[in-house]
Amino acid sequence: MYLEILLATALAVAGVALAPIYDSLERKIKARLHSRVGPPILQTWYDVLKLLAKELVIPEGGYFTAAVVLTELFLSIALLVSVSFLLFFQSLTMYVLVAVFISALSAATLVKSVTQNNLFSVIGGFREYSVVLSAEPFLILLVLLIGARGVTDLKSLIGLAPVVLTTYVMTARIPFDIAEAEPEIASGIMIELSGPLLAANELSLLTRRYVMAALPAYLFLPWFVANPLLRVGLGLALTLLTWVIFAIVAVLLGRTRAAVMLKGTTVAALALTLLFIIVESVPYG
Amino acid sequence: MGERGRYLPECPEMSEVVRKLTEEYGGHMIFSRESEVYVEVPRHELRDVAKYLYNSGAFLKTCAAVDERPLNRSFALYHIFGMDSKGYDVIVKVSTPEDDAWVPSIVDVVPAADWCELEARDMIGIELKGRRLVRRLVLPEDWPEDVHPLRKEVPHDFRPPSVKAESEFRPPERGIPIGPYHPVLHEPEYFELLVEGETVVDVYYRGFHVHRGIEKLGESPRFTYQKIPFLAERICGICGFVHSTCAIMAMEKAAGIRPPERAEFIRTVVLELERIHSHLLWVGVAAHILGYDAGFMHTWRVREPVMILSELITGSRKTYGLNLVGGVRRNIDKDKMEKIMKILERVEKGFKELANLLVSVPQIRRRAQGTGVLTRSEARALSVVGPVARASGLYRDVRKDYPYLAYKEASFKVPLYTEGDNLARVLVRVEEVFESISIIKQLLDKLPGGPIMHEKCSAIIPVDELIPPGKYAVAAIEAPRGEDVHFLMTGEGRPYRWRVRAPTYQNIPALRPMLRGDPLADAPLTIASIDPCFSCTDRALVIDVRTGRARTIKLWDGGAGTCRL
Amino acid sequence: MSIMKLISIAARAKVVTRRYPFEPPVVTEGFRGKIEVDPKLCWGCGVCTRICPPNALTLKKREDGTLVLSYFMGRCIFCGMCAEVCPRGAITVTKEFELASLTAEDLVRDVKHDVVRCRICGRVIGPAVEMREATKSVGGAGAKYYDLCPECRKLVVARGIMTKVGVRP
Repeated sequence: MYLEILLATALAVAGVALAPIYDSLERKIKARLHSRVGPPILQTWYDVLKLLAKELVIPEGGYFTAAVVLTELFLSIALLVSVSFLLFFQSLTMYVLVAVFISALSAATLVKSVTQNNLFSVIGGFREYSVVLSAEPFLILLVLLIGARGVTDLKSLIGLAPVVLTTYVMTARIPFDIAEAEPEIASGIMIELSGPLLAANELSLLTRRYVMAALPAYLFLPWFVANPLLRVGLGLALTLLTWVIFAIVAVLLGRTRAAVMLKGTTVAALALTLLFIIVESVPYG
Repeated sequence: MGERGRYLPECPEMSEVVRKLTEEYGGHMIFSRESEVYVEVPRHELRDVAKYLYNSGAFLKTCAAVDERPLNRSFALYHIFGMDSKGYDVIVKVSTPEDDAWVPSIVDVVPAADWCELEARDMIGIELKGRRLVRRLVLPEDWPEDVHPLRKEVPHDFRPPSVKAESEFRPPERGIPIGPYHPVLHEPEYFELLVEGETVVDVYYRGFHVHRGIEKLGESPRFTYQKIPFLAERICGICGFVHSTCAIMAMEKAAGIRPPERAEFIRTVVLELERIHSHLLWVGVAAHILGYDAGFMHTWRVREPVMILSELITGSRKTYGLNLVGGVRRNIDKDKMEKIMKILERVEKGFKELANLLVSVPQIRRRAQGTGVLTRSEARALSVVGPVARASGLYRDVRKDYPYLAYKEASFKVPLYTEGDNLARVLVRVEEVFESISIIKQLLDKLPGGPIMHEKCSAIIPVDELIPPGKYAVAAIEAPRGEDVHFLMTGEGRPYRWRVRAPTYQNIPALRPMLRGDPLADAPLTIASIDPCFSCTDRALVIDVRTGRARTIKLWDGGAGTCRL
Repeated sequence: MSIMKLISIAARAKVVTRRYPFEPPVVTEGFRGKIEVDPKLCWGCGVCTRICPPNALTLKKREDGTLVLSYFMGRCIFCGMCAEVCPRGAITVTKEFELASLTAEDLVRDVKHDVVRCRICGRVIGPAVEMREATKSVGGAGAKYYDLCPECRKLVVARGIMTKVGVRP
């Protein structure tokens, strides 16, 4: 019990530290696919530290925006912690907690974008809304389903498909980065942020990405692997693997359009989730 | 006009136009050259003349206002009509006395005259009669009412005191600002998109923020004919060689000299190299706008050898400094020729692969297809040029219509699409890259021997004596973005008036029909799809057409004093 | 999946960017960088200043009686026209382009020339080297008058002729 708590805490701390490193790795992978040299492996940490050293500029939205940015950071860390505990404690409460944090985090992002007194941010906010709508309900549903019923059989692994799809969408990578879409709406939801606030925003985004990369493994691993240390090892490895796959996919695609995305993603996520439910409800034998 | 036959021996159609203008509209011919004819018509006939020329297939290239008061106490406006299908220009001059300076507007007859008329009003102070919307195009709002920078009495380094900005027309709704600083616009320019949901319903444009007064500078004692090619090259950071060659072609026409054949071939080769690198640059940027950065980086990787090649041939990656009146400064030897061939081979192979990859990316195809549509009739009315025209089914290419330099020696096809959408504009440019590669190969294969500089010219000999005052010349070149036009009226040792009409100047008005009804997400792509070059467009002038109201960017509060002459 | 071709394209292209400034930049043999004026060869005639499109080369008379050919790299467009027109071949175009500096003065290179003053009226006639060399090539009688300005020279010559023919000036 204590070992598990210790391991889960360590995993969460490692997640916060690793997320910017994985991001640098992602940039390195991207650079390699672009035939570029790319940044060093600690580059994102350097960026964050540099931003933290800059003066604090309160955006046009006022202190409220700043407060929401920080809330978002705390929520994303809370989500990381709860997901880390998921690897060892499979009570329904744990799953509900994860679902609540996912939802709260999205809500914070939305609030952040509309409190900024900037047109681009508001457009970004509406776009973020459509991203969230097309994926988040399914992800929450899947988390709760797994929590309620447990995963008992190899055929349940079919559930990985909708989980991976929705977590990918939730990472706001291309083609789903329309909420910031630099060439269109000039960084949208984060246009008003700079210095330490931008660093906080960056850290919460990266932490969220880490959670989303970890989630597929953390949802399914406990049901198949008994040894807690093996769980940790496999969890870390699979998180890295998922992150790398996500990074490569993001390089291969272009940015989508809000309207197109709502339809396409929703339909795909719905179909896959239904498939999972059907597979799960078929009796054994 | 008894002398008509003597002036116009070769081109019966041209004589017919001159006959019509002189006999029916009471004009008189000033001057003619093999592909240009200058006719002065009374100003009350201008609208009818414009209607006649437009209906007989002419495109309005631009108009140029000239302060001729030191010569004959009047202002003049030269409308340059290009008979694309016949390959000659008709330049219609109207004069207006200095104390009663107005000309009739021809905007309702020829919509393409919109901008250049407003520019004439701003820069020379000629009033426009019969125009519904008259407002400043080029000058900033805080510019004094009665100072017209291109008038001869205004010194080239004159800076008038800022006056209180007038309130200008603004749309009632609130729009989404794109610019003056925006990640997609690589130069300051302002678009305001009025949207409903994510659909653009209207667009307001304001430009001319990067005005540098190059035309005025060219007329100033600071410059001579010898130095102007270097100045012209700086009009644009991408198609600089086009401008320098075009200015030189106009000067050479006025001087009545032709550079040696080899020099013409070398200029053509460099022009096509410039098209290749410009199109590759654009394709990369388009991929970036659509979020496909891999396409961006790899297109630029393929492009890089072209830049290195340019440096090898000319001495610089950009702003080559290769051109002089009468020829070019550097030769292409055997060794360089082989290098060009080898590198082009690689570029062709690399880009073919990339082009296939680009169109296979689902987001690119989906977002480029059917967006930013410009119909053929809109394209015709606005006289759009270059790939924008060719993507809308308008067959226009200066290289074919008015063959210049060595283009007659190469066989190439002009890609034509009828869809008029962003994808068509992408495809036109992609195909043009391959055509340009083929043109360079053909020209290098039959590169003639001989000198590269006219015997009367060199870097040391001042060419001023060769170019007599009082001559006219119009030169046009198919730049990567479309037709580039230079109008020259010679003076003592330097131009009396030098008018530059860059391709983007003609294409920006087409953005309005293109953007309307499109998703907001694709607006940046559509704006980019005309490959706008704002430095070219703004070369001489701050704008306020269809100004928008901006709440988030307070552009108007302090007056847009960004541009000084 | 044709979008996967990107991976093979990237694999074949390898890494093409460089760790500049830790690696040397790509400069071809055709490249034109900043110019260098050889003070031993330069006569200070000023032809280069007249051809220079951006006026990066200027000829200035200083108070201390020197003539300075001043090259300001901040204005230079690296066209190399000056090197082409220099009658002495004193100007060479180098391949140097890393010219960034913290002060504008670092971007100025001056070539100083002594001047010849008219021995009668004291006006500056021209750069000493140019005058000397020009006199050498003219030779003979010219040498006698080389330190006279055109006006004084006319006077002196006229006076000489008058004395010779016996008219009192």
